[in-house]
Parts: sequence; C-alpha cells; structure tokens
Amino acid sequence: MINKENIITKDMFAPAHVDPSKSEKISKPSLNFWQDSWLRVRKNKGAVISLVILAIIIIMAFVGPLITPYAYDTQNTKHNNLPPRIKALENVHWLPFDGTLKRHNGVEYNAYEVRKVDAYYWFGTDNLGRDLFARSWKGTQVSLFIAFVAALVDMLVGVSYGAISGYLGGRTDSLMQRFIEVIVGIPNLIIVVLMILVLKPGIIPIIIALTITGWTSMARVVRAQVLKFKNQEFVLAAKTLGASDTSIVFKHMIPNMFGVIIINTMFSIPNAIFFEAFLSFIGLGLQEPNASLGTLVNDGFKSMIAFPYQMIIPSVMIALIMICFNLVADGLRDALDPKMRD
Amino acid sequence: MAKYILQRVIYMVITLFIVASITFFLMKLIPGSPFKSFTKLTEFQQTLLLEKYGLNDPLPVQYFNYMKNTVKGDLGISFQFNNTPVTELLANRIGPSAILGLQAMVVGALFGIFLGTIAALKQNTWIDYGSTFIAVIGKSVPSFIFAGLLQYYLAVKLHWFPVMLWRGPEYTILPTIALAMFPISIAARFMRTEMIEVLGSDYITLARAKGASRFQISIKHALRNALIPVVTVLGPLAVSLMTGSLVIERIFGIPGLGEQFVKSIDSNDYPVIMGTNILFAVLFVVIILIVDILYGFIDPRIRISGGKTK
Amino acid sequence: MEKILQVKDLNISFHTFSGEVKAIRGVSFDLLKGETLAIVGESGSGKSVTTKAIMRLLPEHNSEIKKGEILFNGKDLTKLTDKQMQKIRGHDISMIFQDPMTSLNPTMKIGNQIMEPLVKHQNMSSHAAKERALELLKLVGIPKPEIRINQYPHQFSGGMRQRVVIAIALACNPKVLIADEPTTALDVTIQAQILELMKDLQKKIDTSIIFITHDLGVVANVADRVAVMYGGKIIEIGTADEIFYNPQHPYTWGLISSMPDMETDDDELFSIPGTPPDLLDPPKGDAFAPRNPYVMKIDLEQEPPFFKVSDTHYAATWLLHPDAPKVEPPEAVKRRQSQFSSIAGTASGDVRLEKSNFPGTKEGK
Repeated sequence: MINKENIITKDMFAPAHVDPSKSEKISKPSLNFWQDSWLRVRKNKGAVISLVILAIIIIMAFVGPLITPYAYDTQNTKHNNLPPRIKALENVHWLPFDGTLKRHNGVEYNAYEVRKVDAYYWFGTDNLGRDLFARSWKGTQVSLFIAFVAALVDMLVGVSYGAISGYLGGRTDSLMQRFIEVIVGIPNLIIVVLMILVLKPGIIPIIIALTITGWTSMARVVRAQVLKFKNQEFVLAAKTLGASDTSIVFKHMIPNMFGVIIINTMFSIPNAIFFEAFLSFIGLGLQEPNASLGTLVNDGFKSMIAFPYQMIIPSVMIALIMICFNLVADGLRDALDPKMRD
Repeated sequence: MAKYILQRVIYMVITLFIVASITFFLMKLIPGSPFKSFTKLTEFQQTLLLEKYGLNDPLPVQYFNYMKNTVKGDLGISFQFNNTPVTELLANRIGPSAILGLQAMVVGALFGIFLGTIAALKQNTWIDYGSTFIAVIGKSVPSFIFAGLLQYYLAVKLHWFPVMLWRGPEYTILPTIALAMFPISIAARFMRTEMIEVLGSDYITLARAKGASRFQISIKHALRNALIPVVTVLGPLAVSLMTGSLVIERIFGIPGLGEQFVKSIDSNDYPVIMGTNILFAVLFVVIILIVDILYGFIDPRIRISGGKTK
Repeated sequence: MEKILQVKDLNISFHTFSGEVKAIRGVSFDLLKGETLAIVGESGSGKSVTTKAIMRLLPEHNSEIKKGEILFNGKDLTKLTDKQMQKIRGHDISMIFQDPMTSLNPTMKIGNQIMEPLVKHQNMSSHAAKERALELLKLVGIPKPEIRINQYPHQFSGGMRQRVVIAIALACNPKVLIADEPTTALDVTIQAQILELMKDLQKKIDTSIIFITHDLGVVANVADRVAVMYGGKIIEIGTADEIFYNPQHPYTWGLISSMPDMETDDDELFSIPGTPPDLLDPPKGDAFAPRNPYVMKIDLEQEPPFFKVSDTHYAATWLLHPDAPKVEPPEAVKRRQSQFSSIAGTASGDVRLEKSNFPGTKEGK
C-alpha cells in the first residue's frame, strides 16, 4: 500500500530499547479517597453554594441572637406585631424591610410611624413583642442542634447495630433483622407522636423520639456493607494475621464505609429538621419561650393574614436549610458513591 | 405468589399487634389521669369516670379488654366528644382525608413520572435541569411550608383559590398541590434515574439495532421497564402523604382524620389518639402490601416465576 | 467478489471527562458478499466501536465520527439521518450482542420482540409476523415454538436467549450481520452450538457476517478472513489461513503464541507483556512498540504503513520493510508457518530466519 514519503534511513531499523515499566506509567497524580472526593464535590456548583450558605446559617445561628440589641425571649407588648424594618434598606421600596403593613382594605401604612415606635426590628416582632431576628436565629440554633444530635445518635446506634448484625451473622443476624423489620413496619409518625406524648415536649424527648426510628436505615446500609466486606481479601488477610473481631470491624471495615455512613447521616439531618418542625406544627413542639424554626412557623401561621412576615421569614429559613442540606447530601453521594465513579 | 402474600399478611398481623400493644402501654405510661384537665370535676366524679371507662381495672385486664375490642373494631369512646365511639368519629372523618390523599397521590405520581421521563429523554438540557430543580425543591421543603406559602400568596393575596375549608372541588386544589409536591419530586427523581438506566441497557440498544424509532423505544421498551421499580416508591410515598395530611388538614381547616388527630393531641383525648394511631398503622401496612402485590403483577419475572427473584 | 460494505479511513473519538479519546484511528476494510470477517483484538482495541459505528449506535452526546466513510449499497452511512438509518438497522444490517441475559426486553413477550422488526420493516400484519416469528424460532432451533412465543425472556436459558436474539437479527434477512462477541457470555458447550447455528444459517440466508471476538479459537472456527485490531487500528488483515499460519505482525505472533494448541508440549501459556496503549494520548509511532520485543528505533518515531504480503494479506509493521533486520518469530508461530507452506503451496518469502527468541514473559498456567 502507500508508503509515506518520509525519510527512512537504515539506522532507524536498529533495535531500540523500551523500558517496559514506562508503558505502565500512571498518568494521573494519585489522590487519596478524601482528596478525590473533595475534587468531585467541588465540581458540583449546587453543593458548593449550599455548603457556603449552610456555613453562614450555622455561624448566624450562634452570632445572630447576639448582634441585635433585643433578646429572643424578652417580651415587650408595646412593640408587638411590628413588621421588619432595617435602617439602610427601609427606603428601598421593593424590599420588604420598610416597616409597612397592609390593612384589610389594601391601604399600606408604616406601623412604626403610626405607633410612634422608634426602633428597628430587622425581622419584626411577634404578637408578644419579641424580636423575631433573635428568635429566628435562636430557633435555627435549636433546630440544628436537635438535627445534629439526632443524626449523630442515629449514626452511632445504626453503625453499631448494623456492624454487629452483619459481622456475627447467623441466628443473631436474622433475629436482629426481624427486629428491624418490625420497627420499619410501624409508621414512625405513630412512634414519634406517642413518644412525645409520653415524654412531654422538650429538646431531649424530641431527640429521643426522632432516634427511636431513625437509626434503622443506617443499620441496614452498614449491615449490607459489612456482609459485602466480610469475604473480601483484605478482611480475610487481616483475619489470617490474627486481628481481633473488633479491630477487623473498626479498623478495616468501617473506614471503608465512611462514604455511605456520611451520605446517610447527611440525609438524616434534613429528615430530623423536618420531623422537629412537623411536631411543632401539630402542637408537640418546644414550649414557650423556647423557639425552634417549627414553632416559629406554627406561631406565624396563626397570624398569617394580618402579619404574613411572621410566617414567611421562618418558612423561608427552613426551606433554605432543607434545600441546602439536600443538595450537599446529593453532591456527597455523587462524589463518594463508588458506583458513580468512572 | 400466594405463599408470598400469605407470608406478608402474617407479618402484617404481627406488626399491627405490636403497634396496638405499644400504643396501649405507652398511653398507660403517661402520668396523671386523662380527666385531670377537666378541673371542674370533683374527686368523686373523677373516680366515677375512671370506673366507667374501666381505668381502675388491673393492667392485664385492661390490656386484654382493649385488644379484644380493637380486634372487633371497637376503639373505645372519645373523652372529648362525650359518648361518641371513636370508630364512628374516625369513620366520619376518613372521607375528606381519603379524597385529599388520593388526589395528591394521583397528581404526584402522574406528574412526577411525566417529569422524570422527559428529563431522562432530554438529558442535560434545560428541561432536565428544570425538572431537577423542581424535584430538589419538592423533596426538601416540607409540605406545610408549601401549604402556608401557597395559601398566603395564591389565596390571601391573589384570591385565586378559597383560603380554607372544604366545600367543593375548588377547595381541594391548594391542599392537593401542597401535598403532592413531595410525591412529584420523589417520583420524578426515581423515574429519571430508572429511565436513564433502562435507556442505557442492552435491550434498548438491541431495540435500536432492530430499527425502532426513538418514540417507539421510549414508549414501548423503556417506559414500562422503568415504571416497574417506580411502583415500589408508591408505598412509602403514600405513607408520607399520611404524615403530610396531618398538617395540611390543619392549615386548610379540612375536616379529616389529621385535623381531628391534632385536636385530640391538644385536648389529650387518648382514645382518639390511640384509635387514629391504629387506623394509620392499618392503612400503612395495607398500602405497603397492595403496592407489593401490584409490583408482582406488573413484573412478569415475579408474576410467572412466583416469589421474588433477586 | 462483490463488496457489500466498505469502511474507509474511519476515525472516531470520544469526548470524555479527561479529554478526547481517539478510539478508532484510520480503520479501513471491505466486507465481501457472503463471507465471514472476524475482527480480533483485546478489549479497548476498538473492535466494538467500529461495528457500533457501522450501525450508528454510538452514544450521540460524547462520540464523534471525525473522518472517514462507511459505504453500504453506495450510501455513506455516516451521512444518514437517524430516520434514514432506522430503515437500515434491523433490515439491511442487524446485530447480535454479547450478553443474551440482558439484551432482551424483560417485560415483553419473546414473540413480540421478534415481530417488531417484521412489522416495522416489512409492513407485515401482526398475523403474518407471528407466522414468520414461529418459523424463525424453529429455524434457530427452539423446541415448541408455539408455546415459547408467548413466554418472557426470564423463562429461557442463556443459550436459548441467544438463539432468540439471532432470530430477531435474521428476521428480515439482512445483508450484513454483525455479531459482537456472541458466544463470550455462554458456556463452552453452548458456544459451539451457537457457532454451528450461525454457520448453518449463513448458508441458508446468504448473509455476510462481521464477527467480533477476542477468542482466536472461535475465529479459526468461523472466519473466512481475519482483521487484527490494536490500539484503534487494524494492524494485520488476511485470510484465516494467512493469519493463523503466516502471521507477520509481532502482535499477531503474540496472539497466536498465547493460544493453547495441541502441539505445545509444555503446559505454559504465553502472554504478551504490558498493557494496551492509552488512546487519550496515543503514542508516536507504532502503538505496539512499547510491548514489542522486536522494537526498532523507527517504531518509536513513525507509524508503519501497510506492507503487502499477498493480494489478500497486509500487515502494518516495520519488520516487513526491506531494510529491517530479519527476526525469528516465536516457536509456535514458526511451527505454524512451516505448516503454511504445505497449505498454501508456496513458502512465504517474508519469513525470516535469524536468531532471537520471542522474549515475552512466560506465565504458569
């Protein structure tokens, strides 16, 4: 066939030496699990933005109540039901921070001027005159606290239960699995409501109620992973070398399932936030003067028509937190789940 | 298949028995007498009431009577609505809840499946991103937040819909939308994933190799195979609708089970709480069972071979 | 003989996360009427991509035919719209896939799956299509077709499913049948049955077959001609006898040596050292050079052109250049080459007799 008109000299046909190890060269820099995962998460814009928003919300949950001159539980009935007003933004009409409200007939009026109040409540006040800015952030703090603790307990219980069940196997495993099946068979709504009725509403009872059913999905995932790892070479090798059962589980298996554990925990946080808000909404939430985002929405809902800001602000806050947590969890799942890797 | 159903029914009965027992004993653990809140009653009247409701009997007797009555469908008598049997209260309330739940389920599943399918067919286009956006919002934001915001903006401000109450079909629109957001998003995401997986499978390539058109492939080959696993999420979705309906009914003042449940929690009306719990548990297990059987019927691998193939 | 399909200088790239993968780099071959052409190569050599390109079944979002033509009946398939291509797929050119367990739609009855191309391409009524489907099932050797036609794929064994897939592919009497490793996923005994069936059917239907495989044993069984692919290119092409008994490319030598045969007295199997080239960044010169024990300086600088060995036999290796030193192929190849002279009648002048063994690693079985 056609021979390319390249210059071909005889000496080009001398034997050449090729280092065989070169053909096996690894072209990509080697990254450990976390570096690789972080690279993947970083590619997901939604997850990164959500992470930043969450960071701001968490910081504000602690700082927020301190930067307003009003305490979250101080009542000032003279200043009740004032709409949001912020100093510099009050003149920007399209922003809802000008301190105006609408009467039934649709006439707008400035509540601060009419009632001769010389103050700035950034998110307004509730019907007892408490500062909603402080209350919103305090409520966020409480909601996040409940969610984090519940997720942590779920994780600890779930991982231990799943690891024990999967690792021991046999009759213990099938007994433990039957137990989970029964728990999963009971709607968690029922258990949570009953537990709160028995324990009386409060932060700790809510956490207990949430964790009673919350750990099962983690336990199932971890058990499945343990079963998968049980017969893999690295575990068999550790066994042959005389590693104890606990060291096999905690040193060899669990570090290999950090990914799924983290993903599962990330999904159980918004779930806990939801259930807390839900309980508040059906009257089983925290008691006054404590606030959580759920109780704030619930209170705001009662005076929605006259003072919509009381409902809208905490609603938007819950929605934002939930969306951000879900996006971060999705991003992490895509990044950490080995099935998605190419 | 029959053996599988029988096994499931046995599991169901065990679960219900446990739910009923847990409900009973937890209720007994609640400190104080259920009549404590009626401060006007004298001590003698309280004792009479306790006697009347059999609350002075030894615990095992109470438990036995309670279980016996529950099996017969007698869930006791409401404290709050004097002399009204709980079963009757629940029966009067189940209608609106069922309508709302069914509407939300149908709207949610159909719209979600539609959204997920077109997202998968138009992968990485603005349709896909839009559908993902709706799915994220719907999955993240609790239904009662939607309900509150919809009610305020669409009903109070824009007057497009009645604000609340339950007087005709137009009253059902907002609560249905609020409740359907979650099923829409879950069904859409699940459908998209399944559809993409199916579209990448060998038999779709074979269908293309046969010369089938894009439309034929999507409808004849892909849709059915992608729908089968989606049926499995319908069960959990129905359960989540039950949870959601509690608050949605309260927000929109719908005279359903949920609204009554919240009221009975407020007034410590234990027989109603227990009764509603048991009704919810029954609905829960029955729905899951129906979905499982449905799954078996539409999947020939299970229907014909019998039993679950993994 | 009549050329039914011509592939000319085909170049295909995939756009991936890490960059452009040049999966096919200038592949050309002809398919003659009624013949079976086997395309052999290790995974990643581009054999499946080539055939998927003929069917235009490559994923649209990340693959691109950069250059080249695929001529069928005078039409360039690379230029057709998807609509036009639908008329050719399953009608003129059809395909059998590797894994029969996943290539049938699990929720559709076997009969309907066979009838689909008949209704689509031949406008048959559903009654006529059903008759034809029964006929096809009988043809591919499925017992009790009247019952089987109403069953679902999960009620069939792997071998039976592959027969069904063959029935679907042959439904419209295609001119070209592409079989992408049709026996790889099957048990050895079933493999033989399916190969027999295909040979048998080819005679009955008079179709040309492109047979993709990495199993040289299968090739020897079915192929009239063989193309060996490496790193996205064809590196040697010839009749089955030429490739098996007079291979010229060191890669083909490696393949042949790694095939167990009756005459090998030691029980060690040969393997080619190293890994296939990274097509993200194809090497300069001959892609096989890093694994080639006979590597020369020119291999590292220039891509070898095709050298003609006979009218039907070409190989792309600088060893065939007149200036190249004479090297001695490995034992197994030498043995075969000595048999070739008796088969072909003429000793190929290109066999060089010098020292130097094929210094590949040997692997215990």
